[in-house]
Parts: sequence; structure tokens; C-alpha cells
Amino acid sequence: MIHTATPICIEKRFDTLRGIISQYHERLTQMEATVVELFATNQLAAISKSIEEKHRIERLVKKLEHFVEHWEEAAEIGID
Amino acid sequence: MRRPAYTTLSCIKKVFRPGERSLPRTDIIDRLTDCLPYVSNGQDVEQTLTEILQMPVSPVRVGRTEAIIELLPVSHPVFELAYRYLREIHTPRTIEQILQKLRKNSPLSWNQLTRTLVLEQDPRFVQFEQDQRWYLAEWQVANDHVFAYAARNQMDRIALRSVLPLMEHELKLSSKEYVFVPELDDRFRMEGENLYICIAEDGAAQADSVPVTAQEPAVEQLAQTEVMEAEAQTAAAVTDATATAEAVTVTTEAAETATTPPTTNPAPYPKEDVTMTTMTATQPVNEQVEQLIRQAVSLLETRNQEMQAEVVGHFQQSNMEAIEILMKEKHKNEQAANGLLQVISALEQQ
Repeated sequence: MIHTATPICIEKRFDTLRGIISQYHERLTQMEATVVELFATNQLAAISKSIEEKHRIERLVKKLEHFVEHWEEAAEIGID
Repeated sequence: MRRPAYTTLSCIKKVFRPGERSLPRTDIIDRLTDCLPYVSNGQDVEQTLTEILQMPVSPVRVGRTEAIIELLPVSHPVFELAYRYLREIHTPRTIEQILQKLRKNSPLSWNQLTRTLVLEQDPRFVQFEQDQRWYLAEWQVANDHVFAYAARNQMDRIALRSVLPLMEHELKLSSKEYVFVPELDDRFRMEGENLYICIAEDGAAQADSVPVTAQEPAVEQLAQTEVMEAEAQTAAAVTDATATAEAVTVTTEAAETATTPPTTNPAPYPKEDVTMTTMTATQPVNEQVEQLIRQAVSLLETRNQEMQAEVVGHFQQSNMEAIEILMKEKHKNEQAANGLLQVISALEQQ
């Protein structure tokens, strides 16, 4: 998902994570469109699958947000 | 935004109150200025008045002096008949419809009738812009009342047949004095049996302000996620709900613009009115039937469009059951539409 040629920079780790989160959000909005299509073509099973997928992504996003919040604060605290 | 607007000729008729036969020019101009929002083109009132006086058929003329303007006396009894007819049915009618009715009840020939019954001359009849039908000047327009009521109660649709009872019982508007003219008003949209009210546009400010205030605390509290998550979710649910509601109106609007032009393009009148009035006209029955079936099909199609928006809403709330129910409804509707289309093709073959 991350198209960075350079190795991950440690300073930008939270920005990278935020990028991932926003990509997930985008994915969710895309899924809404696909669900409409699935509905139009009567694919109930696929819809329920995408709902599961949505749940999974939402859980992931929540965890990631929590992670960023928690550790970004801690990152400010240096040894000095 | 389109609102029912009286034609200029009708404006001048509305200016004369019941019983008044003549008025000083200054009074007329004052009163015309008062109802200026109803005058279609924003030109000078004085100019409008002189224009009306110069029209070949005008309800008014200059009196004994230039300063007095008086109504033309209307003497012929057919005007009274037409007036009574409109009053009795309490529905606007085109001149053709009125003539048809009068032809049955009066000994006059068709030619005589069309020559004498020039409703432009009679102060009791008024017209709105972009509407061929004649209304009575004594009727008041109930649109603002109905819209205000709907906005107050956050109603976005009413069954057409419940509008009249609503006006009479909830709004206390006498059905003899008020007419509801949704078809000339952009705030209302008629679709089959339903009347959609676009609160979204006028009430956008209100509707938006609610979720914003609900969202702001949620943004602030994002720092302390765990505890406040429930609140944030409810706030999100609120915004979702309004968003989908708006989406529904938007999509149905889009659907309407998409579907109506090919089928019923030159119909400024409501569909119901078409059925009501053309029923009595001379159209053959099978054509009427076909028309009604086509209406039904387009109704089903618009409902399908609505359902797509609803599906997104349910998906956002992970409501699988609701989606299943919707799917069943869609299935049924599709079957019904298919059956109807078959009936139409069978009718066409005959």
C-alpha cells in the first residue's frame, strides 16, 4: 500500500500511519459505491461480506488512530 | 426558485377588493407595489399599469378622469356560470375545460361561448404564470402555509390525498378559501401519490447547524477517545441520517429530471391532475390505462433510485437486515415493473 521507494523514515512514522488511515477511509467510501452496485445486481452475500470487511477496516482504523495518538504524545518526551 | 406568481393581468384584478368598482390611480399603484413580489418582471409599477390599460382585453379602463381606474362591468351570464362552476369544483380549470362544461349547461353555441367568455376581462378569475388554468381571485394560495408546516415538522413527503385534510384540520385553512398549487412551486414535487417537500434547500441552514454542533464536541473529545466514543458515534449517526436524507431527496430529484423528460415532458400539471382531468375528457380508455401503467412503472423506477441511497445509509450503519428487506422490496418492484411492461407491450400490439 505504501509506495515509498526510500526505506521508512522513523521521523515520519506517524505521518505514514495517518496516510494509511486516510487510505482506509477512502476505501470505505469506495465500498459504499460498490455496495450500491452489488445491490443493483442482487448480490446479497457479497454485500454481507463487504459489511464484514467494513467492520474489519473500522476496527483497524480505530486501533491505528489510538496507536498514533498514544505514541505521538510519548514521542515528544525525549531523554533530555 | 419558482413560486406561484400571478400574471400581471391577474395582479391588477387582485388589487380590487370585493365590492370595489373603481379606485384612484395612486391607490392602485400603492397596492400593486405591495404585491410586487408577485409581479413577474421587476419593471416599474407605473409602466405595468399603463401597459395593462393599453391591452386589447383588459379588466380595467380609465374612468371619467385619468386619475380614476375602474373595472369593466361584466354583464354576460356565462361569466356567472363559469364562476359558479369553478367555485363548485374548487379546482383550477383551463378555458377549454370550462367551455366544455358550460357547453353542456347553456344553450349558447360553441362559437358564441368562446367569443363571450374572455376570462381576462372578469376580475373574479386569475391566472398564474406558466399555468394555463384559471383560478378564482378569491382563493388564497396555501403553499407557504403548507411548506412552513412541513418544515416545522421535518416532513419530507406527504401523501397527496392527505394534503387537503392537513390544510383543513392542522392549518385551519378553509378549503373554500385556499388552494394548494404545488405544481408551480419548486419547493414541492409531485410524484405519483406523494408530494415531496424539499426542505433541504430552504432548511439547509437549520439542518446543517444541528449536526455541526453535535460534531464539534466530538472533535474536541477525540483526545480522550475511549470514554467519548459512544457519543461520537451517536453524533456520526446523526450526520449520517441527515446526509442520507439529503441524499435521498437529491437522488430522487436527479431521478426525476432523468426520467420525466422523455416520458411526460410537456406536463406542467401534476400527474394526478392529468389522470383526473383527462379521465373526463374524450381520450380512449386503453390509452388512459397505458398512461397509468407507465406512471406506475416510473414510480417503481424512482423508488429503486431511492432505495440505492437507502442502501448506502444502511451499509454505513452495518444494518444487514434492513438491506435484506430492501432487496426483497426491490425484487418485488422489479417483478411488478416487468409484469407492467409486458402488459404495455400487449396493449400496444392490439
